[in-house]
Amino acid sequence: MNAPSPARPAWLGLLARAPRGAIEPLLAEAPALPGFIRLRGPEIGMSMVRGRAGGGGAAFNLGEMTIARCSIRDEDGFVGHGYVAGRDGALAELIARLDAALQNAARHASLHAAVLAPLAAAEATRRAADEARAAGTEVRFFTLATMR
Amino acid sequence: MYVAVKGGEQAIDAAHRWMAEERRGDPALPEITPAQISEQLGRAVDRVMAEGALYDRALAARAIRQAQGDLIEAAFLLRAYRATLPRLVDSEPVDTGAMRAKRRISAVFKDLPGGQRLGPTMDYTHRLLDPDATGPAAPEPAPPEPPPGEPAPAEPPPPAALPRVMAMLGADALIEPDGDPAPAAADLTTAPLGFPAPRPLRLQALARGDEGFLLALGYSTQRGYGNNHPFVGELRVGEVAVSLVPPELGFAIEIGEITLTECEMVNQFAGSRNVPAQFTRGYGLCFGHADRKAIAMALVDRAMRAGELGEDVTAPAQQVEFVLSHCDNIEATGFVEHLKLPHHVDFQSELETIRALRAAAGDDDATL
Amino acid sequence: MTSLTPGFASPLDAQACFRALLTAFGDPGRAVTLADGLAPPAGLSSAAAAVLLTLADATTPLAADLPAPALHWLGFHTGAPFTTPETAEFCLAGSAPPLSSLRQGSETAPEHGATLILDLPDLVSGRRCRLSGPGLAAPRETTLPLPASFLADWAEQRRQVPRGVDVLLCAGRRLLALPRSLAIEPA
Repeated sequence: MNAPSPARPAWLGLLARAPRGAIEPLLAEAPALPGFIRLRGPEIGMSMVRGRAGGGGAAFNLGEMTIARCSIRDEDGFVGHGYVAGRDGALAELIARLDAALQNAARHASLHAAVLAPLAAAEATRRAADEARAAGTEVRFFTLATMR
Repeated sequence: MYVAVKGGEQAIDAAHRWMAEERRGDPALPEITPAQISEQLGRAVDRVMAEGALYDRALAARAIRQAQGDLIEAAFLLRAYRATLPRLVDSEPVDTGAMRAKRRISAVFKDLPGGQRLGPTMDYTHRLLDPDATGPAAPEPAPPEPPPGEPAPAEPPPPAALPRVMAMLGADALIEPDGDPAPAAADLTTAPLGFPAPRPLRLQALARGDEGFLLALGYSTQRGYGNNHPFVGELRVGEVAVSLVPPELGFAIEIGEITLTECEMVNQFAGSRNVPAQFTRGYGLCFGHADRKAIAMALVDRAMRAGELGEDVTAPAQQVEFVLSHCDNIEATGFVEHLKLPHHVDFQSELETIRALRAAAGDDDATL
Repeated sequence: MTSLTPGFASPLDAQACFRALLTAFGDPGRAVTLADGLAPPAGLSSAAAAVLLTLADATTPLAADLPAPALHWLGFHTGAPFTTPETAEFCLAGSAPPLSSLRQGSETAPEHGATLILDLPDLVSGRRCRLSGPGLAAPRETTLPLPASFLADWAEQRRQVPRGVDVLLCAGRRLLALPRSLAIEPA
């Protein structure tokens, strides 16, 4: 049950970063996910976000953020875990179900095509738009002397 | 000391009902929604998340509405809410170097690899109140064509990690290094603040500290109370991925992105016979888009390093215990505002003491 | 492939168990019965599992002498890090280790004393004991499945209050509490 590409951390990250409400419509076009039982959660809690002094020095506790998580086992016997920022337990459960199904080689390709690929494309478009917008505020200040 | 008081339930209930009506305001007007607050009062939401020390835009927006826009009260509501949540898995330190920065400026170098980008900023506005009584107009659409003479950026550059200004200075050893990437420090939310407080603990306290308090202290350092000659080396705002390692997985996964503001301050140099002269550093990092908070935090962080850097500790901003004990506005408001609650019994005892003193003094006078 | 099974179906189950623990600690020596529904792996009683799912978390180091599937299950559902009995906040065992070998807490932080959870075949066999102390209006005589060495340890620990270990006896879905404030003597 070695996960084919994209690797598991990549799909878990992609699913967690997807905008609210983006996953369900894609699933409607995909083969149905298998039935499942909940192992833990869905539950909401917190994660302490850490930073580093100076960006790369000693770690410090910046503040907490809300997170939701869920773990399930599907009818094929795969255990999936979902962790996502915010308090949407149903979304964490959905990610866990997808995580389980994506580990199943028999289901991976179709889910990848129906869910992961469109999410990745949408994310790339979104990021390129963000980047273009930020680039539009790029500025060159003029001074009398060149400096470094 | 406090002595419990009884009674007043009816009056308190009536006061709460009135309060709820006041919060709602004129029922002829539509009620404001948390989504509107989150979208249209974003800086207030950022501040409440930072000082409430909980990143959750929707909750912070609700807290602001419930608190009638009293941001300290809203941060208090957020802190109280967080106390009901379990801490599931803590994050890996965020990599602000990989931030997808919408804003990134440097006050020390104009030609910055990766470029300076202003992002959404009011830095260059005239700070004139919009005369349109219906509120600021909808944003003007971007010009379809760049003005002639300026070459258009043909293709948006591929998103790449922007190099840090500090790394440029660090390459020539002109600035002190970041320091040891030690494991996670003590946590103010699980252990009471103690002294001496190491820098990671100080940074945690500052990150959740009151913006006004940090602003005043940072300002005081510029006016000479612990001057350390600051330059904003780099200020960036943008989206940073948060990763954590679920124990059942054993590898890091991203759980989403949050908006952070980071300020790296370049400060007055120090050197000695053994160490060549180097700039020193102050650091600010906080939730949301908050230039002022991040800059003030970096100023105060640097000021509190005075002892470590062999400077005289003379000014308020340099006194770690003073700063950390008073920067939390939830603690501060609790103690300051409790003064309005019934103190009838303690005051009665003071009244009796002062009457007794005067009576005794009167007796003394009488014996003269 | 992992054999993980569910824990509590709802946070309300943990709240109900917490309420039962309050009842048990408030009425030492009387067994309370927990709701049905939890199905822990072999080697772990339903009561002991419920107690740990209710009380243990990532900040409470746990020591447990259990088969691997049960350990895995506890780690997954509680998030508690595993450690040795000497450093554990919660120590789960089938028979009592010397109480003095567990965390005792300090004069200023007696809450750091360990909680020992003894997972037993039943709560009725054993020796007659006489319990007295906070929570009991009158001394209570009951049968406790504990060896003589435990009673000697307990008497010793009572000399150093407020430091010491609290004990929970679990069997099936039943549990009873022996808070460190309790006096236990042979009847």
